[in-house]
Amino acid sequence: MTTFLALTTLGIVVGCIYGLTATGLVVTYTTSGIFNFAHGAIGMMGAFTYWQLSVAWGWPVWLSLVAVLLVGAPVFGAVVERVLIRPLHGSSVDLTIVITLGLLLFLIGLANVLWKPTEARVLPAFFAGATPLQIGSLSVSINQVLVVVVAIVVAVGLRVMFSRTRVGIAMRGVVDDPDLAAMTGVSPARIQQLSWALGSSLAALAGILLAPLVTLNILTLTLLVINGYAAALFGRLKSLPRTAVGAIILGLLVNYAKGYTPAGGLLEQLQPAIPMIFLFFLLIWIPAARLRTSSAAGTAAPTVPGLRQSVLVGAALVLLAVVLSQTLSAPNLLIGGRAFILAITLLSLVLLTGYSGQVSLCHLTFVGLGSYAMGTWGGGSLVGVVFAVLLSVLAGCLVAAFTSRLRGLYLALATFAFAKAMDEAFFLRELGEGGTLTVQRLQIPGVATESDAAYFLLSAVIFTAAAIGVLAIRRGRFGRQLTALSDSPAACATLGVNTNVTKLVVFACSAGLAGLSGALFGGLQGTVSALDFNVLGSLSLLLALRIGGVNTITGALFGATCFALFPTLQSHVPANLQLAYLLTGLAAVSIGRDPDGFGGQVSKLGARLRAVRGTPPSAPSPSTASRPELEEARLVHS
Amino acid sequence: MSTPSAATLQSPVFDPRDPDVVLSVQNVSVKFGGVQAVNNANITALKGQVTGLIGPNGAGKTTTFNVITGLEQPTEGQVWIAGTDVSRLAPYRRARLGMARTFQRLEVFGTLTAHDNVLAAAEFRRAWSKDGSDPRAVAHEILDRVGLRGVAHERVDALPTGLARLVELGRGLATRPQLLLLDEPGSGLDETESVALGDLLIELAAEGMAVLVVEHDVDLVMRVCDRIHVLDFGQVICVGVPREVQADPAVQAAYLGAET
Amino acid sequence: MRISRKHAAVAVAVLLTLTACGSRADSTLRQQAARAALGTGNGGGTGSGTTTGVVGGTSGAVGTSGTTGTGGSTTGTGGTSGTATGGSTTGTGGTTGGTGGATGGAPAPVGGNGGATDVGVTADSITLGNVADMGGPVPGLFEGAVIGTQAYIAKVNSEGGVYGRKLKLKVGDGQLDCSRNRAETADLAPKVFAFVGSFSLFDDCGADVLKANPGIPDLHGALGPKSQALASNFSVAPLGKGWRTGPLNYYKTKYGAKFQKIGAIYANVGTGPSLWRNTVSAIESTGGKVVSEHPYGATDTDFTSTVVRMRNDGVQMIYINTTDGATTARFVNAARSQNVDWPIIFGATAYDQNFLKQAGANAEGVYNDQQFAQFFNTDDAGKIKAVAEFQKWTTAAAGPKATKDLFAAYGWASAQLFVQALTKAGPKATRADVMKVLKTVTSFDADGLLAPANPAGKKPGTCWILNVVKNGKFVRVDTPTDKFRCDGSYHYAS
Repeated sequence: MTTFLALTTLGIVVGCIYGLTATGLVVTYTTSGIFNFAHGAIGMMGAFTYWQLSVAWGWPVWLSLVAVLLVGAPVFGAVVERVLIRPLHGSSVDLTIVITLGLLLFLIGLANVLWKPTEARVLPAFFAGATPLQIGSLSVSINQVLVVVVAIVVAVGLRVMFSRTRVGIAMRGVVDDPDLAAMTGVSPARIQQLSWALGSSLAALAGILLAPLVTLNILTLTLLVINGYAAALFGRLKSLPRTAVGAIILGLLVNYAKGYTPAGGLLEQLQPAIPMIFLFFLLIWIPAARLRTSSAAGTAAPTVPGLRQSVLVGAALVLLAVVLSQTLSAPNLLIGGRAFILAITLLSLVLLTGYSGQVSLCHLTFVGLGSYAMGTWGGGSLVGVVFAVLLSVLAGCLVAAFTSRLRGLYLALATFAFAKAMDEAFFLRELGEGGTLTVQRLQIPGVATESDAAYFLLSAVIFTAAAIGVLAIRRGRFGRQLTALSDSPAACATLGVNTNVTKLVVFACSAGLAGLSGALFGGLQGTVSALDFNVLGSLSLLLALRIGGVNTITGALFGATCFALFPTLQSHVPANLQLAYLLTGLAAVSIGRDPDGFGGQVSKLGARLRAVRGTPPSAPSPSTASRPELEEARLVHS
Repeated sequence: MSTPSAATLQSPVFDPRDPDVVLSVQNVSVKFGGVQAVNNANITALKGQVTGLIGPNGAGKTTTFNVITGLEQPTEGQVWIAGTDVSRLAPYRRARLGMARTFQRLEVFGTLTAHDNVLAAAEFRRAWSKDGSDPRAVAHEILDRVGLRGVAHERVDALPTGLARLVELGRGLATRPQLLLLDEPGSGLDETESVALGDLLIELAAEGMAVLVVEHDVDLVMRVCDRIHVLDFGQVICVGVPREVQADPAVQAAYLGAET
Repeated sequence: MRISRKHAAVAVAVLLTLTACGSRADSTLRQQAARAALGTGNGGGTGSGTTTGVVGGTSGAVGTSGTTGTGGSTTGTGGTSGTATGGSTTGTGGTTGGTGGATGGAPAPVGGNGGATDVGVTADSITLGNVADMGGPVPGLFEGAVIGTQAYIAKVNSEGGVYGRKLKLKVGDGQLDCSRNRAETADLAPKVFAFVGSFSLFDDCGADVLKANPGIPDLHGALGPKSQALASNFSVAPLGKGWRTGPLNYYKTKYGAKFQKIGAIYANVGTGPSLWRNTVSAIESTGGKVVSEHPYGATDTDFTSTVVRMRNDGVQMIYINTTDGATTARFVNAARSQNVDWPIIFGATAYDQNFLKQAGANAEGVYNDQQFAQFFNTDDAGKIKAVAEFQKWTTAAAGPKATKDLFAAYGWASAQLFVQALTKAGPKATRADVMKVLKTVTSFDADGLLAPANPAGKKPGTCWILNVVKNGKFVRVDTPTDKFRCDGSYHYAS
């Protein structure tokens, strides 16, 4: 009984931590409709800035708090809104995810530059000297009590603000009905900016309060908010009281699990994944949303090359790869091979996101399963590739079967939860002894593929074949169906298409292709570990695709090459200059302004050239005639 | 088939199992929050007829279409298509019973060409009906019929709205429906195109299709419709042949009230 | 509701699938474990600390390197000519290793040194390679490995180098990324004479390159099983599949009945679980019992509920050996805040300045046993010359704030082992000559910086020291002030 009481008390404390992090998330989402993946990173920056002021520079606590919570964080939030968020108005969900992810990476990079992570920093607890509160056998520090009190005050305060004050009501109005809000004379843009300032401040508050409890560590603080996602989703991203309830339930769940899970066995293995499993099931029990009608920001759909053209270009690419394989040095062959294999992974996303308009944040999980199958059962054989593809297809089907009713952000979050749960419960545990799994390189009977040069060539050939295949799909019946699904799911349904089945099929195909790339990836490295398939990597994958251009083969190859080269660039600058992170972040900012990415540019250039030569472009740029109408549709249906 | 009088039409005397009754909307109500978008509506579309559904903006016409096609769930009431109660069926299942529609706010496959829009629909039809038809031949024939041959290889989101509406119409026809729901097919068309559209609708009905059309162009409606339902504030306030409807004081009040 | 039930059914199906996967993988793990125990020797590993984030590994603790029970004789280390002889000792009594460690180099021989004898060698220089994780998600993670290696090289060069050749170090940044490690290793392999002092959580990725180039000597603390298995790898702290029993016997005597009521946490990551099972096996072999053990994951930021559970389970002492300093600090903070009076003992990886900083006053009275000298303390520097030299030259190499961590100690010791072998191989040494010498080094202790281990035989040592935290410092207790304790043996888990 004392144990139960203690665990319950702790569960409430932990629940308040989740609740505090979730609150800010909900505030920004309700007013801007954008789920801020960088919320935790903003909190982390807040905590570190507070440490810098109060500990390193010795400012008084109150002054540091004022400087961070009332000046630094709100200004930062407002600037982020103006620079990154406002241009996103009406963009697709995967683009908004990519942008806030870019911000997340940028902030991690910046923090690593400013505060070297190998040095331990200690943020003293608030009221460290005070006698802890004794509840039964449990002693609760005053800092923990403070978290509970602040969480309650913030929750109640926001509730009052949203229901009683003019600004608060306007904030709620912005997302429910921007036109209505505009009629009340409040500028939606201004309100949105205000809410980002507030959200940023709440993030910093949470960071400062929690850092003494969980140590001042860049990654820990950044990722702390992830458990808050589940709480926020319990409130459907809108209701603060429900968010609070969800947070407490999750806090209790996590603590009871720790207190009562029997040692050993599956339950113990699943225990760290509880918040993500909770999130996943919340999402699939969310009532079905109406079928989406037209998507607003149609990205350019570039001309699809014909079979002859794609085979010719493919042959040229293979030829180039042959030359490169003879000339590149061993390390460069590895980098090149990685670029081709990553490009295959991105092709799978072109199929899913570019063609059918669905978002997945778990594609590295499929890659990982491919590596796992190849390493565990494949032994470098062609059968291993079959296993890799089958396992990934199976996983893809499972995910799609659960999530077929979901779309947009909910789909993104569900796949995120799946990926994170797989991280915690599977990859960290099951990838062989030492956390690493040996994966053999694919051997085709009669062909020597063991050397780096040969493997590079093999990767190039498989990429080319996959690209030609994906283009053939695009041109064919299934491709038309995917485009139709992407352009208007509602119309598809009224034409007799079971959209759930279509989604499942494309998800499975995409997962299978990712699994194939995983089998190759494992062989390239020879060894894989959980870190290779981390969920944040899946987010970066989407970013790479966006940088390249979401629906072109060129884009996939370009994005992959960038990502394969970033580490090489990094090795030419000092280690603490986080080039990869900073560049990635900046790239994200730029694609916020030009969502077509590199592939889109190339395609536009091609169209322009054809126009100059007098041939009419076969694919005129979109959005001339019907754009205003589509825009209107978005406002009504969002 | 004789046209029943307006008085009998107003009450739901049609048996939804009657083979001539292709669509029967029975006592359907829809509430959005506190707003009653559709209130106890009864609508019937008969085989071989063009049925009109008119009313001022916000009268609930598009919502009714959404309920019929299954995109929206009614708070109350049933929908029958070709003798089957489809109230619990998913949109795609209803479509497979032989129903197609167009949308007031365009739902074209904007990144595909006009030809591919129609072709995709013909392929969908072939996939679920397994009737062995040749989608390309179907697409070719329909593009001719709706007069889109000239722009067949233009991307649809680059077409003017009127033509894009015709693409939606062609796409619907490509699934060979027995019931066709058209949501303002005439808006954005010029005089000649509008006349051609009217002819096409009459032709389709003559071939035995049931057509339910929402339209603001009064001339068009009066010319092509066999019967007209008038919706106002979600309620069917009048049903009858065009002449009767035009003469109905309640209809005049609703329209005049809405337009001043 | 119908929908809910349908989903529930699918959910159960998923859980069953997961279960099946889990058990299959478990049996694979057991097979591997069995193989390892039968003598392939790759057992230990990398308790890779908490993995969070882009790549996690916030602290990438080096698991715990065990030491075997060979207890054997230490041949001379360091020095010019291998003069020194450590006492040949079994049982108790420390070996401080060679005495001749003061000098590192050797003068150029009359008649020249043979010029470019092998890859990376010229008449006046030898180029060495080092691949460590520095950039990437946790910048500076293992830069200590580079600093330690460079420090020893600087020392040797200041003494004139080896046979007239100065040592140079080419460094590749593994960026905590497998592909990167492999690429950097492949890049350096044709350019360097040997790899010295590398440190990476992904050394297995470079191991494939080294396997394809078996002639390149590789002197580094191998973590991955492939790396450990390399015939060309010589680790100054080889890992074993078990645990040393000396400290366990000590705790048994000291704590009596409490030794039957042990509570523990272990990393639920990588080798964490198997490493802990090895430890439990050793504890049980010495008559102890673990009554409450808890895996922790990346998202576990607070251990209070674990402490509550331990109290419920009747725990009376804590023994933890697979966690990093930061995690240990969090646990200690949680335990102290709940006013438990259990003795708390943790493993070598928490001998870390960051632990002292993060646990603050709560660290007082916490014990740890470790298989190396207190390389960052001033006390040991005053008594053990190798420690003083290590501190002096790391400071010289990278400034007073230079990282003096375990990785730096391994880097330093690896470089020392290399110089010792190179010197012994003579002025015209080739890679093969050096390798031949290395194969004879069955005991090495870096002049007392590390407990003696057997690099050639890939066997961990058995010697150890015991520390207690007192006034914010690690202080030796029940241990000779300048030596290791070498009581006990090495228990191999079966």
